[in-house]
Amino acid sequence: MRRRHSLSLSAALLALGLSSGCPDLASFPGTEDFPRAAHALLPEFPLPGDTQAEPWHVSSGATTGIGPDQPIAFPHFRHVTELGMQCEYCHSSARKSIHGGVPDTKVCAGCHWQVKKELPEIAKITSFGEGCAYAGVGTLNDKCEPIPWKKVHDTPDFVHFNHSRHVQGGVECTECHGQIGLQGQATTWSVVEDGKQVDKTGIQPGHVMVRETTMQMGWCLDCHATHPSIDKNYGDKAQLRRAELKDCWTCHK
Amino acid sequence: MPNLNRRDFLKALGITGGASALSACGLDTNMYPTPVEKILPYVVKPDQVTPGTYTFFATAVTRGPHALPVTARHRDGRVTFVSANFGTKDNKPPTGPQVPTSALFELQKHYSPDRLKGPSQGGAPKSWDEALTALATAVKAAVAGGKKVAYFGGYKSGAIVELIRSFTGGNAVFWEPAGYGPLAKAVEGLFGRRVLPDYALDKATYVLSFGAPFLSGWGNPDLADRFAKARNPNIGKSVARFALVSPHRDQTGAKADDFLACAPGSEVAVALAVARLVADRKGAPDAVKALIGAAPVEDAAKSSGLTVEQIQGIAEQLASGVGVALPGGATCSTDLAAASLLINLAAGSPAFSLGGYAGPVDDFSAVEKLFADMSGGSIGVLLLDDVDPAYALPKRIDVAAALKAVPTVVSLSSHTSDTTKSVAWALPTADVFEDWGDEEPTQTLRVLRQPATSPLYDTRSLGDVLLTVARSSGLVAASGLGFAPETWRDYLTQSWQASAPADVPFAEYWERSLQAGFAVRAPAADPAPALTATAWAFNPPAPSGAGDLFLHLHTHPFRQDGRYANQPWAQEVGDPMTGQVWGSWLEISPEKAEELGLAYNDEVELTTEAGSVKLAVVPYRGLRKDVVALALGQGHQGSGRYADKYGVNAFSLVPGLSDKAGAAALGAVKASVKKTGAKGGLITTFSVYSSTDQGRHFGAHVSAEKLAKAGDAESHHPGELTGIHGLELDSRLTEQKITDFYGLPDHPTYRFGLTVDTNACTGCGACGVACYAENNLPIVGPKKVAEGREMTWIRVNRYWEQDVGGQDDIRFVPMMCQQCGHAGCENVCPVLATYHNIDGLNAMVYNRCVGTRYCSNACPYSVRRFNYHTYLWPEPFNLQLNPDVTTRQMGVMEKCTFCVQRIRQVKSAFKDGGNFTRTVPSEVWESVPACVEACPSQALTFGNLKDENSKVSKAKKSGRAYWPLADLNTFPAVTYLAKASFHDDPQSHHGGGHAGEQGGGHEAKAGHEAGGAAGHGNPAKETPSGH
Repeated sequence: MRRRHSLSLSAALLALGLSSGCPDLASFPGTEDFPRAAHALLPEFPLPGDTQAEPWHVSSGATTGIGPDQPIAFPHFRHVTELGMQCEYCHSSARKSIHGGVPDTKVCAGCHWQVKKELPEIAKITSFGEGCAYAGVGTLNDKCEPIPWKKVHDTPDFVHFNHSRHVQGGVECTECHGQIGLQGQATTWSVVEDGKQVDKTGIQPGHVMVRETTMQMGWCLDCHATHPSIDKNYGDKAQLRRAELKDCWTCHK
Repeated sequence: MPNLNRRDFLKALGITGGASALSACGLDTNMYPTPVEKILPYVVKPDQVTPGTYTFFATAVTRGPHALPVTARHRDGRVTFVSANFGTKDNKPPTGPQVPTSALFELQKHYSPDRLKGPSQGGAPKSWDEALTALATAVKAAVAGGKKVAYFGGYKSGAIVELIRSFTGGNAVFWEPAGYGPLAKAVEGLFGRRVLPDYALDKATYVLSFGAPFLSGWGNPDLADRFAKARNPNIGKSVARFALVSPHRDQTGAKADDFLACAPGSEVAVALAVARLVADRKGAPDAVKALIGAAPVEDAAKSSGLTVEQIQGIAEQLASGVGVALPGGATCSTDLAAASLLINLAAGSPAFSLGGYAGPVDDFSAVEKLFADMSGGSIGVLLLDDVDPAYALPKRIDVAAALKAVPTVVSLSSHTSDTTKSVAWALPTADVFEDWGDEEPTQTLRVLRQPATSPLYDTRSLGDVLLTVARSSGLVAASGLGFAPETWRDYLTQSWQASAPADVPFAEYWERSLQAGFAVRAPAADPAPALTATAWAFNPPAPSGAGDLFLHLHTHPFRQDGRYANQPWAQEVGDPMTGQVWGSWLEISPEKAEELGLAYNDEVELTTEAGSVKLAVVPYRGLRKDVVALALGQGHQGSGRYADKYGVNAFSLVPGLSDKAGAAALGAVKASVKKTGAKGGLITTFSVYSSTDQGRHFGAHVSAEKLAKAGDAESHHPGELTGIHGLELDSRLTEQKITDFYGLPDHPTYRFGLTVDTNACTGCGACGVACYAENNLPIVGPKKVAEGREMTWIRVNRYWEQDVGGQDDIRFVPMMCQQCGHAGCENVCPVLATYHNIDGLNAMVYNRCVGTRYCSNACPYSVRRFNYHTYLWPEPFNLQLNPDVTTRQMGVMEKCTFCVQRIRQVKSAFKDGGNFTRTVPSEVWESVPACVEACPSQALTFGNLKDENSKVSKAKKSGRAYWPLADLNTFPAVTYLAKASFHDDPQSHHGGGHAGEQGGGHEAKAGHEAGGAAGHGNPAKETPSGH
C-alpha cells in the first residue's frame, strides 16, 4: 500500500547489507523479475531523500494541532479571512473530482507575479518554477518544478475518499478541514538558539497548516450516520442512505 | 511520552521491538513515523484536465488487419486501461464493443520494463540529433553508392504505408511469420486483387474452418462478435453449426460442433471435394467448377482419413443454408487458401466478400528476396520495425550474415527483440499509446489513432523520424504527399484530407473522426468476388523430413506469433486449452502417449529436419494420433526478461520450405519424438478444479435441436431445457421464504447480477486479462503458480466432455466470485471482513482482513485468492496500476468485486448535478465491470436484478439458465446459460428425465465432488490436464 517505500527499502537494505555485512534481505524475496516486499512485518521506513519523518505524524492519523514544515509559509488566514477568497477559487476540483485539488503554480503566480512579489515567501513561488512558461512569468528552461507541499490531511492508501460527493452533498470544507481560514496567522514564539532564548515573529513552523480533526474511521462513521445533509438530500430515503453509508465499500475498495 | 492513546501506544511498542533488530544495521529507527507524503500539483495545469478524473481517448492500439476502435482510459497523465469503444447513440462503430487480449497486452507492453529508453548505437546511448544525423548520412551514402534503402516490418496500414514506401522507394516488405501471405496470394491469383476476404460470420448458418484461429487473434477481432451473433439462440434464429477440418483443435476449434481430424496436408483435397459437391448442388458457374476440377470425394476421404459420408455431410450442410468457409491457420498453404475461397464461390456465400484488409501483406518469397539482396550487398540501409527476423525466420536463411552485410541496420521498435543486438542503431519509436496514426482493417472502416499519453521515454514517432531523415538526406518522393509536411501529424491530416468526403468541410470531418476514433467510407472497389483466374494447379507441398509424426504449429491465443511473449499477463494467464503457463509444451494424443510410454510432464526430444528441442508433453484429446502440436511464441533470446527464459522457439523447427507461391513456411513438417526419461517443468492452472465436469453441472449443455423447437424465450421455467434444477428457488430468497440463522439480505434498490452465456464464450481469456489490468492483480511468476498461488480473479474453466456417441464437447465456463445471496464465506469470517452489502455484493474489505482463510475454505466455487506475499510491480509497471483499487498486502484475501470501483463511479456520476435519489437506469449498468466490457463475444451481461426489465434479468429468464452447485443454497448472483450442442441430448447422457418430470432433481448428484474442487492451498500439480 505504500509500495514506493517498500521498493526503495529493499534497495537500501541491499546497499546496507553489502557495506556492513548485515544479511542481504533484498535477495530473500526471490527472483528480481517477480519482486515481493522483503518482509511484510517490517514497517516501511522512510528513507533519506525520499520522504521526511516528522514527529507530528507519529501516530498514523490522530495527531491534531501541529503540522509539517511547508516549503512556503502559506497564510490561509490572509487569503480566506482577510481577503475573503472562496475555497474553490484555488481548490477548483473539489466539486468535480475525488481530489480537492491543490492549485497549480500558475494560479498562485496569476496574482503574485505582480502582487507583493517583493516578499521573500512569495518570491519562493516563482523560485520553484521560474523556468516555466506561464503567462508573464519566466521562460521555459530546466527549472520548472512543482511546489513540494506536504500532505496534512492524509488518509491511508486503502481509503478512497471522494471530495466531489461531499462537497456536492453539502458538507462544508471546514467540517473536515477545520477552521482553515484561521490557520497560518503570524504569532510570536520563542526558541532556544545557542543557549539563549530568542523571540520570533511570523508563521510558526509546524503551524502553517494543521489538522484539527483526527480523521479516523470512527469520526468518519459518526458523520455518515448523523450528518444533516443526508436528510436534506435523501428525504424519505434517508434511512436507506444511512445504511448505504455504513457499507465498508463506501470508502474501502 | 506525548499524548498517546492505548492503540497508538501498542503500535509504537510493536514497532520499536521490530525495529531494534534492524538498528544494528545502521538504520535509525527509534521511532516509526508514517512517512509524510508530498502533494505535487501541476505547475501549469492544462485547462481540460481535472486531476483525479478520467479522460477517454478514442484510438486504435492494434495494428493492420487486427485494428479495432477502442478507447484508452487516461487519468492523471497515464493510461491505465483500454476500454471498449461504444460510440455514441448516432455514431456507433461497425464493430462490436470489445477489448481483445491483444489490446490489453499492448497496454502492458507500453509499461514494459524492457522498453528502450532512448536512441543507442551498439548499446551506447546517443542523442536523437546524433542518431538522425547518422541515419541521414547513411541514407545519403546509400543513395550515392547506388544502394537501396529498405524497410522490413509487421503489418501496418493507412498513411504510414505511403510514407514508408516513399522513403524506401518501394523497397518495403510487410510480413508476419504466421500471417496472411497465403490467403492474400490466393485471392490475388483467383480474383486479381491483393486484398483479404471479409467474412460476415453473423449471416452464416454453417461455418467451415480449416484451422484459422478466428476466435484467437486471426483476422479482425470483430470476427468473434460476428460468430457469437451467428450462434446466439436469443435473436430469433437457430444456432449456426461450426465444423473444423484440421489435424489439431485449438481454442477456436474448441467451439467446433464437429471436429473432423484429417491427415496433415490433406485439407486441400477435402476442401476441393467439398467445393465440388457444393458446386454441383448449387449449380455453380462452369468457371468455378473448372477451377475446382474433378476432386473425387473418395480420393479426399482416402487421403484425409475421413469418411465419404462426413465430407458429403459438410457439403450438404454448407450448401443448404448460408455456408462460409475459412482457410487454415499458421500452417495454411496457398492451395488451401484458394480451395477455401472456391468453396465460398461455389456456395455463392453472402457471408463472403473481398471487402477485408487491403493493406500490404507480403509473401514469404519477398522476405527471401530481401535477405538475398542484403547478403548480395545491394541494400545500404535497412529499417527494421516490429519484426524479429532473428527469432522468426527459418534457419535456412542466415539472418546474422545478412544483417552484417548491410552497412547500416536500424531498429525502429519501441522494445528490444532477438534481433536488436545485431543492429547498429536502435531508435525507439513511439508506441501505439504515444503516436498518431490510422489503420484500415477493412476497406470501409478507418480507425484513427491519437496519442493518449505523453511519451514515457525519449521516443519519437516513426513518421517524424522518416520525414526528418528524408528531408535532411535530400530524398525525393516519387508520388503522393512526399516529405513536405513538417510533422507526422501534419502528414496524417493531409493524407486524410486527400481522401475526405467532398460534402463535409474537412475540419469538421477530421474533428468528428478524431472524436469517434473511426470513420466509415464507401469501398474503393466492389467487394463482390469476381473471378479472374481460369486455372489453378493444386499442388500442395509434400511433407518434408523424416519421422513418424507430423508437427502442427499454431499461434498461441495470447502470445500470438511471439509478439506478446514479454508481457507477463500473456504468460501468467493459463492457456485456454491446457492451462499451461510460463513455458512451452508439446500436445500429443493420449493413444500415442500411451504407445510411447509418455505421461503428463514427461520430457521428450522433438526432432525435425531443421533442429531439435527438449520439452514436456501434455496428453491432449484434440489431435490425431500421428500429429504433435506446438504453439508458437516462446523461447526468445533477447526480447526481455519475461520472454527469454521460457519455453522453446517453434520457428527453430521449421525447415522453411516454400510452396509455389512462396508461402507455406510453417506447414507439413515431419517430426519424431524420443523420450528422454527426465521430467519437464510444466506448470498448469488446471488443477484446482477438475478438467471434466463430472456431473456437477458447472458446464451444461442444451440440445440445439430442442432449442430450435422450443426457442429461448422467457416463458420457459428454469431447468426445463437444461434439466439442472435449483434456479427456480431464486424467488425464495427474494421473497424471504427461507429460514436462516443469519438472516437474509435485503436489497432495496439494486442487486447486481451477471449472466455468463457459455454458448457465446470462446475461452479467449479477455475477461481474465482485463481483470488483471483493472484490479491491480499481481504477477506471481512460475514458481508461485506451480504452488497454486496465481492471483487471477476469473479463471476460465475448460470442461472437456464426451457425449454418448464419443463426440467431444468442450465447454468454457468463466468462474468468478458468484456474489452469493447466501454465501458460505460470509458466515465464517471472524472479523467481518467479508459481508453481504446492500447492493447484493459480497464485499471484501482488505484492511479488515486478518488472513484466516476460512472464507476460502468455505467457498464452493474456489474463487478466493490469498496474498501469500506483498507483491511488487517492477517499474514502470506500477504506472499502470488503477488508483481506484487498493493494492493488497501479504496476509489478505481477495476476490472478484464486480468492479465495485466502477459501480461506485457510475453511482457518483448520476449524483453529479444534485439529484441524489435517482436510481441509475438499468441500461447504464450493462457493461460496467471490466470483464463485461472486454468480452469480444458479448457473453457476459451485467445489471440490476431488481429491475425485471433489465437485460440481465431477461437473460436470467432464459430456458438455458442454470446455477452451478445450486443445491448448496448459495443463491448466486451469477447465472450461467447453457451451451447449445448439436450432439446427443444431455439429459439422456446424465440419466435424468425430461423437464418437469424430474421433481426435486436439484438435490441430485451435483456438489458432492465440489469439496475436492475447493481445496486451494496445496493442489496436486501432477494431474494430467489433457483429458
